[in-house]
Amino acid sequence: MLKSITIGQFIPGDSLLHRLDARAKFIALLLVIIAVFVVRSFWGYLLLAVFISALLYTAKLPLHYFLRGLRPVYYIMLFTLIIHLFFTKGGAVLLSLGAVTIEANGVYLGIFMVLRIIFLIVSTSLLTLTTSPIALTDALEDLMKPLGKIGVPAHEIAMMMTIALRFIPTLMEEAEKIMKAQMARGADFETGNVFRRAKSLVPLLVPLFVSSFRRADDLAVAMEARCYRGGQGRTRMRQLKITMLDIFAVGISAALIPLMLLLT
Amino acid sequence: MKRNTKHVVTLAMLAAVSVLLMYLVRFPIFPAAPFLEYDMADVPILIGTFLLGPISGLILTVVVSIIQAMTVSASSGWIGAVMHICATGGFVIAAGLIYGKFRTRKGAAAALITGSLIMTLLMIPLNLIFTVRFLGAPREVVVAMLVPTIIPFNLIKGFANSIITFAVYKSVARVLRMQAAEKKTQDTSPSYPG
Repeated sequence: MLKSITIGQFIPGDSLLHRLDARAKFIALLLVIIAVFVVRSFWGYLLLAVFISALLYTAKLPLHYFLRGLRPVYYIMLFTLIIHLFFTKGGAVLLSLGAVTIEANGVYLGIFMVLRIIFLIVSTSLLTLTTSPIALTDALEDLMKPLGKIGVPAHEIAMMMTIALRFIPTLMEEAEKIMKAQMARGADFETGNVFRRAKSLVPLLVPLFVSSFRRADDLAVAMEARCYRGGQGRTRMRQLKITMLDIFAVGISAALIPLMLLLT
Repeated sequence: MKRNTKHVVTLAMLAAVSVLLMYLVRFPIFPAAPFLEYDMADVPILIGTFLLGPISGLILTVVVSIIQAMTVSASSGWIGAVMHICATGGFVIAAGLIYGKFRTRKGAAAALITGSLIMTLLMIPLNLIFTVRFLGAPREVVVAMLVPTIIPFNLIKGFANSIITFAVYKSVARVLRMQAAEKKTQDTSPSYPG
C-alpha cells in the first residue's frame, strides 16, 4: 500500500523545460498564475490555452501525467460548473424546467472558471513535473535570500525542506513497520468515525515521533562532525546559472500579463 | 530563535513526519463536500510547537506547506499552501504562546482549544477570499456553505488533531526527557544515520 507512493512528481528528462533554471521556472510560474487571474476575455483565454499547450509540447512528457494531476480537483471543477450553471443568472435563457433555469451567463462563467482551474493546475504541474524537488528547494532558498534581511531564515528553511524530502521515504518504511507491529498486536486503523480513527493512530504516532527524534539526533551529530554550521560561507557543488534562455522564459511570461489586460 | 544544527534537523524530521501523515491519513468527513479532506499534518507541527516554541512552529508550518504544494496536494497547489500557512500559522502561534506561559496539562489543553477556535475563525475569511477569488466559487455559495460544512469541518479537524497531539505529546515528551537524562549519565557514541 505504501510502496506505490512516490514523493514528488518529478519525471527526469532532457526537454527545454527540464533544462531551464529552477528559479526562472518558478518566477515564470508566478507570472503565469497572475496572468490567469487577470484574464478577462475569450481571446485572453485562447491565448493562454495556446501558450500552455505550447509548453506542454515542449515539456515532452506524456499527457496523462498532467491529467492525473487534475484528478483530485475533479470534484471542485464539477462543483464549480454546477453552481454556476444553476445560480449565475443573466443572458438568454437556454433551458427552463419549471423554476429552474439555465442561462447563458451561467454556462459562460462556469466554463471559464473550470478552464481557470485547469490552467492553474496544469501550469503548476509543468513546474513540478520538470523540476526535481531538490532543485526547487535550492531555487526557493535563492529566491528567499532577500527575505533574510527581515529575519526570515531562508537557508534553514531550505535545509529543512531538503532533509525532510530525503527522509520521507525512510520514515515511510518505519511507519509501515510500526503499523504491522501494532496490527500484529490487534490494532485496528481502518474503522470507526473521525475521532475513533484518529485516536487509533496514537500507538502508531508515539513510536514514529520517538524514532524520528532519534534520527534527528544522529543526523545532527553527523552534520556537525562534518563541520556544518549554517548557510554562511557555504559553497555548492552545483552552481545555479542564469542563461539567455531563462531570461527569455521569464520575459515571455511577464509579457502575458499586459497582453491579458489589453485583450478585453 | 536559537539556530543550531540539532534544532534545524529536528524541525526537518517533524516536517517529514507531517508530510508522511498526509499520505497515510486522508479522508473526507462530509460526503456532501468530498474536497474537504481531514488530514493529520498539523499534529507534528503542534508537537514541534510545544517542544520548541511558536516561532519554530511557524517555520515548520511554512516548510510543510511548501513541500505539500510541491508534492502531495499539487491540486490545491499554491493557493492551498497559502491558506494552510495562514490557518495553521494562527493555530500554532496561539497554541505556542499559551503553552509557553502555562506549561501544564491544563495549559496544553487551553492552548489546543484556543488554537482550534482561532484556526476555524481564520478559515472563514480565508475561504471567502481564496475560494471565491481564486477557485471561482460564487460568493453566495461559499457563504451558504460556511455554517453547514466549512465551520464544522475545521472545528472537527482542529479538535481531532488537538486530541491526538495531547495524547501523543505526553508520551513523546516523557521519552525525550528520559533520553536526555540517559545522555547526561553516559556518553553514548553516535551511530551513523541510516
